[in-house]
Amino acid sequence: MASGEETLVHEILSGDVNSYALLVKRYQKPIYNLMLRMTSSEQDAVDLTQETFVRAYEKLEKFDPSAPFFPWLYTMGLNLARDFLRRAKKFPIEFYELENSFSIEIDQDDSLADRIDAQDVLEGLQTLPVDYREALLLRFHEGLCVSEVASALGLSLSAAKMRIHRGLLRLRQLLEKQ
Amino acid sequence: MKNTPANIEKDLSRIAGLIAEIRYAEAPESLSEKVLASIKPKKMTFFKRLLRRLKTPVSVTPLRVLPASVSALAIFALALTLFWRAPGTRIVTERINEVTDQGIKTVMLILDRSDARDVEVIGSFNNWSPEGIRMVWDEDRGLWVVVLNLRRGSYEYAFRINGKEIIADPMAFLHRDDGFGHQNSILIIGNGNGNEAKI
Repeated sequence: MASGEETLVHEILSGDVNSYALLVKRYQKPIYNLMLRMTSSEQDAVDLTQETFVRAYEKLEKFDPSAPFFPWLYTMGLNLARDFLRRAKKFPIEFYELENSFSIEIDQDDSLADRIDAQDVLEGLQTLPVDYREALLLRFHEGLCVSEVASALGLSLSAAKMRIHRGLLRLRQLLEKQ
Repeated sequence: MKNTPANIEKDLSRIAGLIAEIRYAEAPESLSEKVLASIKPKKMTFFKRLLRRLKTPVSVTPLRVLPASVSALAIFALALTLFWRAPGTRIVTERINEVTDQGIKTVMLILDRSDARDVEVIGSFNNWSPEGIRMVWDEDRGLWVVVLNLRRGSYEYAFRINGKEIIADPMAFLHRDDGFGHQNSILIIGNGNGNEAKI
């Protein structure tokens, strides 16, 4: 758990709303960006981010303060975003059978690693199924350990490892085709 | 470039590094204010407050909060009889809370620090002698334990771990600043009516 979060949670449960403000400020950026990716709408992203934090506050008694707060919050946000898209009858790519995908060998002088930048990777990520995209962002952008990624996405440890590895391979394939 | 395992590994490392570099959009500044405007401070039930009080050390001035009768007992703090059980002695837990005819009470202090090599209690009950009272590692409980026989009174104490680190008793309810950046725990021995406690 991030520094001092267990104490913060105890303080919030004791009635200190200001301690919750610290958690909101700490995590509003990744949650807001999750909602932007899910909805592609700034207004919907703001509303869903707000709803995520309010819902997390309401359910805080059920949270184990010794566990990391962010994966728990992220799970809640992801579920809210999926519910929102379902109601709006918008369906993101949820699952993609990567086992059946194949790579195209392209002969280029420069290696892929030398040709790509963060913008290319961001564009590639946006074409990946949600679970793969979020697994990669949680692992490499948020710096969560694999067990925390598994917790946030409701996966087993081995499934989370596989999701990250296959997500990277798929992203490489996409970038090679560019 | 050929898709050799080395090239693939290089690409994957590069992609992972670039994911870390992706710049996120800033959340609107008003977001946290909106969240806070939507929530109310939580109210704890009596039992949750009690549980939290048991778990959380608080820093207070005992004379402010303790009844006058208990405060008066502190005057007799120096009139102490102390019996220390040597390491390895069987701990007679049955005697805990027993008050003898002489008004001496048996109390047990415990500390959950399995990483410690040795633990001592230092405190007002032996005039803060540098030679603390050694605690015994109780294998069954997985705790450091010491049993003290104390007269009525109010005592301040702390644990010394591995001869250096000094900490207050995490199980104590009340603590007092020692004026040197540490906190001492407070132990009250009452009149044997069962209300006395390690506080």
